[in-house]
Amino acid sequence: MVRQQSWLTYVLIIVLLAIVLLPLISMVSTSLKTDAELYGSNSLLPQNPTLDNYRYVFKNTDFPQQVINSILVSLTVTLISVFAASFAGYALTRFRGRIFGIYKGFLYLIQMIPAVLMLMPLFMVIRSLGLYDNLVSLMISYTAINLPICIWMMKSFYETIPYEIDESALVDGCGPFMAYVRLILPMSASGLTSVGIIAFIYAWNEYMLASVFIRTNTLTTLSVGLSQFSQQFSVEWGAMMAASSIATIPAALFLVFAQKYIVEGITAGAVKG
Amino acid sequence: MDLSSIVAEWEAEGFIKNFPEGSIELHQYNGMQAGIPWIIDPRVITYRKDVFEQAGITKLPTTWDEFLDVCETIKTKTGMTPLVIPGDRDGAQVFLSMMFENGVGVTDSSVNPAFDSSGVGEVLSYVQTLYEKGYISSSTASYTDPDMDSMLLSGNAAMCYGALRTTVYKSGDPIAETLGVMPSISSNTNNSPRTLMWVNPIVAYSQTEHPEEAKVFIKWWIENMLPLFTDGGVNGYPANKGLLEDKFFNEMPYIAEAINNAVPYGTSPVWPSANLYTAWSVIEGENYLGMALQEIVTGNKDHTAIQKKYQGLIEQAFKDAE
Amino acid sequence: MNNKLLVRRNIVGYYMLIPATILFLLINAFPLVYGLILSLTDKNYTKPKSGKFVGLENFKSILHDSEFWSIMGYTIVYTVFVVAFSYLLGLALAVLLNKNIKFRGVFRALALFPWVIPTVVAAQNWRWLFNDQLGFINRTLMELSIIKEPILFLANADLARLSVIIVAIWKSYPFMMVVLLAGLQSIGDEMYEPAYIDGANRTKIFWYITMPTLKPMSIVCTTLMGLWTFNTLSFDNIYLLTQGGPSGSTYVMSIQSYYTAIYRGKIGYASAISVMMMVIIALAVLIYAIAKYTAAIKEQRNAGDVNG
Repeated sequence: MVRQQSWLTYVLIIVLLAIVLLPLISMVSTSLKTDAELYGSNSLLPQNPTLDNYRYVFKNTDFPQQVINSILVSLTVTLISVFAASFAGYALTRFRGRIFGIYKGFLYLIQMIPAVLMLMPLFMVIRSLGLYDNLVSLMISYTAINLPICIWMMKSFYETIPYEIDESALVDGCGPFMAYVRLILPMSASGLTSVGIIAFIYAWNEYMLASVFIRTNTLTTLSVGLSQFSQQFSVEWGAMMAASSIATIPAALFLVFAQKYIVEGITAGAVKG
Repeated sequence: MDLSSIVAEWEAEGFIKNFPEGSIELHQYNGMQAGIPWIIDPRVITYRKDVFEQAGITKLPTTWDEFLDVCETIKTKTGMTPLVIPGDRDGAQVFLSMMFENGVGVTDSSVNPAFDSSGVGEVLSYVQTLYEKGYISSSTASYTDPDMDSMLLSGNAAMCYGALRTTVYKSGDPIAETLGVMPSISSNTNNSPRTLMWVNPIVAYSQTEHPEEAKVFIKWWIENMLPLFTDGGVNGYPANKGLLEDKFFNEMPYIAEAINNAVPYGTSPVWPSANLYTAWSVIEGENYLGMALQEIVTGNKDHTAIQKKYQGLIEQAFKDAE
Repeated sequence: MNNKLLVRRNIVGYYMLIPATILFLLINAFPLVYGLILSLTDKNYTKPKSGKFVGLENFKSILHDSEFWSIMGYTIVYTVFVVAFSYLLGLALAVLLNKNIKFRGVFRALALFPWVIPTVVAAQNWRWLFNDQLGFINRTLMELSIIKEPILFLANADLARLSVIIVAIWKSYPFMMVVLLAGLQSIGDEMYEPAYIDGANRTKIFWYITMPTLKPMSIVCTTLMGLWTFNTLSFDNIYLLTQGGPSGSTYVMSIQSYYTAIYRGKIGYASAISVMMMVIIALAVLIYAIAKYTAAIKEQRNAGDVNG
């Protein structure tokens, strides 16, 4: 395509992005302000940038641990989601039978369940499994809640892979599972990536379940940790924004490097549904 | 676990007068002493002494009328928002505290819902005056406790009504050093100043294998727990008044003023009823008082309708709790 | 292939469903069934003796509750607005960022930011921006003398209803953008060439080539976002911004259900409210299916007319 460098495009993009990124700009800038400047001045950018707020967050709060917890939970959720969704997605496209049909209907039903309806019963399940106040409770809940959409995306993805490929493996004497492992799985990178991203972002963002299932401060996720900054009768805006910036940085870095794959992955997976 | 034997001993020793009025009764449940008063959490009016000086206010207000006058003076002389109150769940507590200033509670003394009383109507009018004259921010409905601190420290407000601003006071901010606690006020007709004060209990579980030792420990702990605050860094204040006399608390003028100006007027949340009733958790949880406050600070002037609506909800909460 | 082989193959298929199924049974199915059962009881955590079967009693009282209807109305309005406007914003950015421009990758990454920001962070920053006296928006508008009185974004009932929607749109558009961008990339240049040769202008190309090609992706992303917003995202967003205030003006069904369960202990009634949410979604799906079906029949008839 011809390189269209009309200045109008740039102006539009920059104006839209400036509006959209305002909360982020104010977040990072607030985190770099001194207390006096925080309340006194109206400038968007800090006059005397300081890292005091960051030092405070690292030294005096449980926040670093909570970020680690969030990373741990999100990565586990991503990993399990990718595998379980890939298995199930493959099964639903390659096998025929009444059970598989019912299963697809079941997936639609699960998508419709409001989280609040499950909250109390799920809490009881978690407690009876002895997983209350344990990160595993979040890992399995997030995975299960996300799984229908992940399976659905993988199913759409596998439908785009010609059946002849696995048929040929079957003719060669491979079992269907080996055909999946040897031939299909290596071709699924872009589909798996998009599923992984959806799962990761959900787990990274979630608040309600984390606030109910985890009680100990050092065990909770960053969402709950951040909300506590404003609930302790305190005025630590600077520290809160520093913590918020810290929470956003891993995700932001991830985006800068991964945006190409996100778009590609979704092209391959979701949109063909 | 029933702890009434501790209370009996304290009654015999005369130690009982060390506890805030009604705080022992508050934790009696079905004839059992379920908890012992441990930590107090009063609602206070925090004010900036420098602003008051600047505005030429020499006499602190004692009644609602005087308080409104002070607000007017601050507003005209400094252009600041005179008072900040939160509008969320913490706001509910300020509203309740204002009800106490006027000598009314959520129930009457025989524990029947009394939100439709004329006294509550007067509180609604008082808040409406504060709101309409710009003595509290027009954005009050969306304010939370941290917003209150921001307004204070940014120099936009002269007073705030809520929990003790201990963290702010200890922050070392120049404004924080000018903070004081105003003596609790009362409405024009009610000559008895009051302010809401939570008294959080210490409890013992009936499963314990050594009930007698537990009781001895709790008694000793309540009588001697000073290091918890002086060394433990706990941001709270002991219910046992004797400990409040320690110089640790009195070295900090803001805290000392709270102890002298507000704590003596501290009133239990369920006043004028003596014990915590089941419906209270619904009233507090559903934030009925906060919602009534929000109605006023979003411009609803129909007091009768507001009182009727929340009286109905409170009555329902009592019915549900039966 | 004979039947025996088919059955043998299917067994592998069942095995491959096992990991997902275990999670579903544990985390989705049991709580769902239990939630449905609870909605038919008067279970109340504050009352030890509660929990007996009351049939459809909860639903009857919900339907007679005037507050429920207004909350349901706002929930639907909220969802429709969030989906529609986040779709439009996502589409605009997708079209702009699909052009072959410099720094495209950086712009795309920046535009996706709101998606990965934890809702808690987003809410706190928006609360900060929305503040009447200290917030950036009001201070700037006042300094520029555009307004005299601060705008009460979260304290005025109607504005608060609008403000929470704006924040939700801001949080939701990146997903729309990603899906639509992926759709745009699947449109090859060869699809545009005939139009260029015919001398069609850009607007025409957009409406007659781009939009029809994007239709399947548009359906996917709006349906998903609609479901997510209605069922979960609205809760986190509103709970963290206004807690449903001022005076309950930003209550949505999930908030109402949560408060009823947590603060009143009325689990049965709260479950019934959530079940109503499922009913509304099922109705929406049904309407959609009927619309699709009638459209298909119409098309068939039109095609028949042409052929005949």
